[in-house]
Amino acid sequence: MPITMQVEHNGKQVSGGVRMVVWILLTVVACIAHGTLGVVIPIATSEAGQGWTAQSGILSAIGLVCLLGVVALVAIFVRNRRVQSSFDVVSWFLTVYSVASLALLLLGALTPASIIGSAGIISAVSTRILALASIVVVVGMIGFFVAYMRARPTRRLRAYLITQASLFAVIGLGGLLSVSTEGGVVLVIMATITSSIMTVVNAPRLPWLPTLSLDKKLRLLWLAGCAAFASVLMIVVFFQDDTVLSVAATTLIGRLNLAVGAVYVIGLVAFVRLIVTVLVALPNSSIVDRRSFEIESLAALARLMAESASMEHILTRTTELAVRVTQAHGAWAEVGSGDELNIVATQHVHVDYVRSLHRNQLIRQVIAGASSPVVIDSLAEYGVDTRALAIRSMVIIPIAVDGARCATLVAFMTADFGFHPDDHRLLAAFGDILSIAIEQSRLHASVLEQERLQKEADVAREIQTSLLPRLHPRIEGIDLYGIMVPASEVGGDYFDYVRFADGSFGVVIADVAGKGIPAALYMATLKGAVLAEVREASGPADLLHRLSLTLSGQMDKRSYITMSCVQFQPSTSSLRYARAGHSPMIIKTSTGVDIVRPKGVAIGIVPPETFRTQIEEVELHLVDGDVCLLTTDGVTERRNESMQEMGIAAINALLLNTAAQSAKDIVGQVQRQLDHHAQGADAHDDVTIVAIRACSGSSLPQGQLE
Amino acid sequence: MNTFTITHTHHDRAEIVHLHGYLDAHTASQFERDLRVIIEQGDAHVIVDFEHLDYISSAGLGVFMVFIEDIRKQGGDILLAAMRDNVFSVFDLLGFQVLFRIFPTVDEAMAALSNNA
Repeated sequence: MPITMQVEHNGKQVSGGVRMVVWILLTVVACIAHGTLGVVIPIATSEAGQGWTAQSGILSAIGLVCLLGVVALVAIFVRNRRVQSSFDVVSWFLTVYSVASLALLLLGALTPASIIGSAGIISAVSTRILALASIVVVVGMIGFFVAYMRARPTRRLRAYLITQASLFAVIGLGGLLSVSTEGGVVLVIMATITSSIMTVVNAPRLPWLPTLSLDKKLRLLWLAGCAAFASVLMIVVFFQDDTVLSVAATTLIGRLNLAVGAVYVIGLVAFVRLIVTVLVALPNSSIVDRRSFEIESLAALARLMAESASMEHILTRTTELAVRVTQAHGAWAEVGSGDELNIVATQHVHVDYVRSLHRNQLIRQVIAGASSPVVIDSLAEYGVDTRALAIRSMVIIPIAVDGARCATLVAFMTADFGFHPDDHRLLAAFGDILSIAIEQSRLHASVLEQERLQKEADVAREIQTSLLPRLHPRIEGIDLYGIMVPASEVGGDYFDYVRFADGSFGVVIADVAGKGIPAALYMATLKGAVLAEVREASGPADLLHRLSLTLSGQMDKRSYITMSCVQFQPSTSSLRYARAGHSPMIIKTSTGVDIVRPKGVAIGIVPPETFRTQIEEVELHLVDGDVCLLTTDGVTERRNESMQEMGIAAINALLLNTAAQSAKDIVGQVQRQLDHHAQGADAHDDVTIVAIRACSGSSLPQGQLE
Repeated sequence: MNTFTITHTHHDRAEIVHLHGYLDAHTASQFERDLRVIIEQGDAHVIVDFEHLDYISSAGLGVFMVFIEDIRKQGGDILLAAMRDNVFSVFDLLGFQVLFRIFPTVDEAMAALSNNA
């Protein structure tokens, strides 16, 4: 608000309101001083209202010097003031001016004329209070005009202000001269006319005026009218020599009333000028209102977008704004079509009515057929029987996200040609923003979905990790090591160390088709089945067959499990191996590297009886230093950025070059080979590697506890 | 982004389904949907042409298992043909040959159908 407008003075921030109060207080002090002087020297009061006398002139001069001193001080203070001409400043001034003027007039009217002319303290004080109050109002008005003119500095401004100041001086001088000669009155009139013309010509353009809303313009018009009215009353009062206020002013300085009246004339001219300006700007108000409202509503929609609100909320707000901006008689937003039509938001129309409209084949087609924003000036043109319809014209805005229609915004009028071309344009803009907002809200939802998936992945990972062995057992005659490196999404790899029915040691390695929680749950089922069946199983092929029996019918049609199983007999140093569709075992012996690939079908793709006929079991005799490597397809199918799989050959080569190392070293080397191949590319599948190295009992390596 | 497309042609004895691109976990559900439509509308016999399939994952393989039982109950069959080596090795490793007949070319698969009849 302008009253608390900040001004800079010597680096300090002084509030305009405070300065105003100081100004008023000093003026009041000056008035009281003047009045007191008048009482102390009785000659002054006895002459009051009678005309110019030396004594009263001296008194008044002293009072005026005080007043002018105050004005000068204020002028110095306000020198750096930056008045920003705005609706608020101008309306505030007009209000203060009107109220002050009318209050002064009221005071003048209420003061009995008998008091002013008579002698005595009351008369002397009230006379001077009235006179100085008149001057304060006038000076305040002049002050505002100066500040107002300075608001838009132009080159002519200084010259104009100097001229106006000179003219005011001439008016004052003319007022004084008019006591003795009629020439003074002429001077006052001439100067007033000149000043008025200059005011009309130089009144600054108000850049903010055309952009005001109709409401504000009308307020300004009303205030300017009040101010002009107050000015007219003031002029009438002050140009008559026998009114209370005139007499009071004249008591202060001879025929001061004339000068004050002249200033009010100039004020009146300025107010009339303002009224004319506002009136001229009035016709475009509806356009301005509309524009500002358009901008507001677009901004509101943009905010809505930032809030990532729900689609329903977005559509409801949009229909509200659409009705307000276009002055439509109603609007609604719908999602889907046909039986799945969902009227999400309605304004000034009932959902059932919209549904009944949709039962009209033609209207339904018109709405559904709109591929871009459509204005229908008259539904009758589309062959719709409008006799029974309240709706006559509509704007249909289809809203598409990613090229797919996801909602429709409809605004309607109950008259033909109800919509302005601008409405069409604006609602189309609404549609654009809406589609972005909806996309935004979908993205938001998808982020939540991502978080949920991540949580799910974490759960699956926990299940998987809990199923893997924590210890690497010490087994006589072999050195053993296995790891599982998880992919970002659980890939269903599983391995375990088991004991067969005869107490012999075994290793199972499996890959459940599928990913995430389903895969993890299958793994859990598989582990349970393995633990239950292995106690009864005589060997790898038997175990696999038993598992296929147990799991048959328990799995989804799409799912299957590949699995390898080895059984180690330390007494004979023999290894039995069977494979259910799993990646074959690689064995390195003193003669080279071999791939051992017995027949076998994955668990879950054929009935158990077929599975049994297909499964083969091989027996290998290991000598010290032989290495068996069991992997999942995550190893051979590990890809690099150019999508090349590592393949089995790389592992073969690696094993060939491996001298007598521990199982753990071999697993580590395979891992390094994988990392080398992948070159930082993400693993899409879990990687499981189990190495079994034959070694005599004496060179039993350390049994690791991991 | 790897893409997967499926087209099909109708022949006297069978629907021939041509697969293109990458059949993995992301495209398997699309494949299943499309294949279901083709099987429901078309012939009891389906020959799947793998000639232009670059890659198949476990999820892709799973789709074949969804339909085979039902289609055989109706007296039909799904024949697989013209696989590239990398795709064939996946089927082979898993033992899919026990479940499906796999032919080197589509023509041979057609001929096999004719002989059966």
